[in-house]
Amino acid sequence: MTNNIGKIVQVIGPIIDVKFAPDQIPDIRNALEIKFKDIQNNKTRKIIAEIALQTEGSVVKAVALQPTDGLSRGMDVIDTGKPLEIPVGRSCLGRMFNPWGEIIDGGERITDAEYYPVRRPAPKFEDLEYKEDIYETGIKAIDLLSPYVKGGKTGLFGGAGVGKTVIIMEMIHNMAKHHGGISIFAGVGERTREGNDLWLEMKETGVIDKTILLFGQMGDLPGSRLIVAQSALTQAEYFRDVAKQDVLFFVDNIFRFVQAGSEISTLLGRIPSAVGYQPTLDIEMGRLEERIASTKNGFITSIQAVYVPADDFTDPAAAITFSHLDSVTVLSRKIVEMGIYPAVDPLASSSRILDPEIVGEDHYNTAQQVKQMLQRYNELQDIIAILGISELPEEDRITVNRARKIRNFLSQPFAVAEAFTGMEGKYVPLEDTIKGFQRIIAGEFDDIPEQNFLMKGSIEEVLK
Amino acid sequence: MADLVLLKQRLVNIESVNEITEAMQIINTIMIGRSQKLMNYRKKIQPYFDRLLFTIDQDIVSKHKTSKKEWIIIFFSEKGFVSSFNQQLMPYLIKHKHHQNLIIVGDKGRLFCEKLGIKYKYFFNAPKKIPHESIIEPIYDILKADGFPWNTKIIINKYSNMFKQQPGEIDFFPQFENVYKTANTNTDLDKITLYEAIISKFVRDRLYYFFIQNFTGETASKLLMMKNAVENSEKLKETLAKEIYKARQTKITQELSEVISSYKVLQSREEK
Repeated sequence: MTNNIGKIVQVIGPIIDVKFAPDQIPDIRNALEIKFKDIQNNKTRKIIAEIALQTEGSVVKAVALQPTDGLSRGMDVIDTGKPLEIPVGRSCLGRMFNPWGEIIDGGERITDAEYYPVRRPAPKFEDLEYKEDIYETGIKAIDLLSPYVKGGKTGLFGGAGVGKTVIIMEMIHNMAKHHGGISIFAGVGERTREGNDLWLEMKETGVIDKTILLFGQMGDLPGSRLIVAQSALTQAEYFRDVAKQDVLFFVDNIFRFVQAGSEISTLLGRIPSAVGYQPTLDIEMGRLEERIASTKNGFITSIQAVYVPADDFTDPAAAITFSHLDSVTVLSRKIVEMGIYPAVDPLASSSRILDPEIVGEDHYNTAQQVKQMLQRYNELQDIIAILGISELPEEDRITVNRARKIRNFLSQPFAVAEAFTGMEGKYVPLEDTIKGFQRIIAGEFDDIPEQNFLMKGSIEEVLK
Repeated sequence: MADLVLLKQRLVNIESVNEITEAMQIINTIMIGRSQKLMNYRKKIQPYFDRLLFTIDQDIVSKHKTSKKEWIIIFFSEKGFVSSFNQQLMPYLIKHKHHQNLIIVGDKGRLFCEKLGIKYKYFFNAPKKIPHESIIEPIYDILKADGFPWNTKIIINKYSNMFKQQPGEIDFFPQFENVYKTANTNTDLDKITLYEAIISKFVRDRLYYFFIQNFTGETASKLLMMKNAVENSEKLKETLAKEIYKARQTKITQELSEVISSYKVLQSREEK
């Protein structure tokens, strides 16, 4: 802590303007602390803010991480002389934090932790390492059509209420049962209830001991939502670089990070770019995504939920996220409307490793055939709507019937949704998934009604 | 929001399907008028033909009745877009799938047989000519070669009206002979000449009647199908047009809000 003290000159929402001595202007990204007595409860409160902009007259604009109620002009602001730091390390495992490193699980304070700055550079190019192994999720639609890469980045795209969070929860559940290893979860601007559900679920399954959770949820200020993913990443980086362990990194939802950046950009008076987003959208996203990297020390496998505003995939926030990812799972509202969960869009989902040399001929060919059949079915949709399925040529009718079975078989009961579906959750190994789809394509089940394929695990369940 | 270009492309495709179905609807409307006229006329004169048959010496006719050969002629449609029309005949086809003497009329019937692995003896299809000499003459020859077996059956969609074609199994030769048996007839021709003249006319005409009936049913079914298709494509066009308007409006609103917000920021800077 330095002795550099400034004064508040203006507070607009979460943006605090602080005037420092002309020769003592703190650096951009330095953390500021404001301690004051809250007149409502007569307690001392501390607000942390991060410098975002330096303006004329030795005034800096800082983004507050906590609500700015109670602040007034003229209050003292302390420059900490360093960026925001959070506790990292093994002692943090099993704990829940807010973005600036305070414990929010009601447990004891951590005393033996190391502190790392939240904003850190991305790993050097020569330190990066790539793997081309599949990370098996046990979810048929994902494993077959957009296999996740160990040490890679994956995006779960979808509009509101299509099931992004449910898939992330299911993956965390499967990870606990089938994978093990350290995992970090960043709750960015989503519902607080979901964070609570996750915390309880993890405690119940016993996976909490290997997990660190960080939350900057919907009700929090944009500063908090902007920094929570960085804080979580700092934790992941510690395990990768110091503990030299592989880490699973979940972010729900990366769009809220962009949204928080947009809110702050507007408050800072920057001219908005396309669709009202901040002009610095590319660099902000780039800085975050480039940090989520696998190095020679260890791998960070990240799974990020990406909200797609108004189901528009050309939205700059969604479009910019696409470019950083190794595999993309797109969730579709049309599929949700058909009652098929997970609502994975098989034609829009893709993966870098869906290559015969990586996943093998069997997997690749099956995935391609599934996509071709569904594509043909898609092309015929309008004709079916106009003339009816019975008017299709025999060959197309067979394709449509099998495609409908494939579409239904892509559904699967989830363990985390047992309360809603009343069905036991199923983990389907990749081998079984491939075999099941191969048999449908081959026409082995042409005589079984398509309803039988809905919400089933392996193909053996369909035959029961 | 769906891609505007893709939506427009889809609309163009649906519009062309709509145009085709509308044209087909018009063609079928004209055709149904013609064939209905023919069929109604044929229906009226059928009893006279039946009666004529019994003017033949019954001893000669009875030799057909003793023939052990039995033919089953099944009339399907010749072209597509009448799947329900053909589907109605499927139970009959399956019922006679092991029959040795099946005659299939209409290309769709051949496809069904191939799909189900049903062996037929003859297949006839004449997509262009009306009346279908190319169907009637060869079948006539087949029946003649076997001495016009009395047990020949026809499986056909019986035309009732525009909306109803009832599938059924019909006897080729009239079975209600008692009605005509006692008919009092006088003729100067000898029995054989009379028989040959009447039987050839009767069989050809009967085949023609079934052909016309099948053709009328097929056309009516197609007309109904096209009518529905036109309605469906109209609905689809309407839905797509709404989606296009929505997407376009969203784009305009987006652009306007971008321009306005940028202007506001620049204005506030100038004020400072």
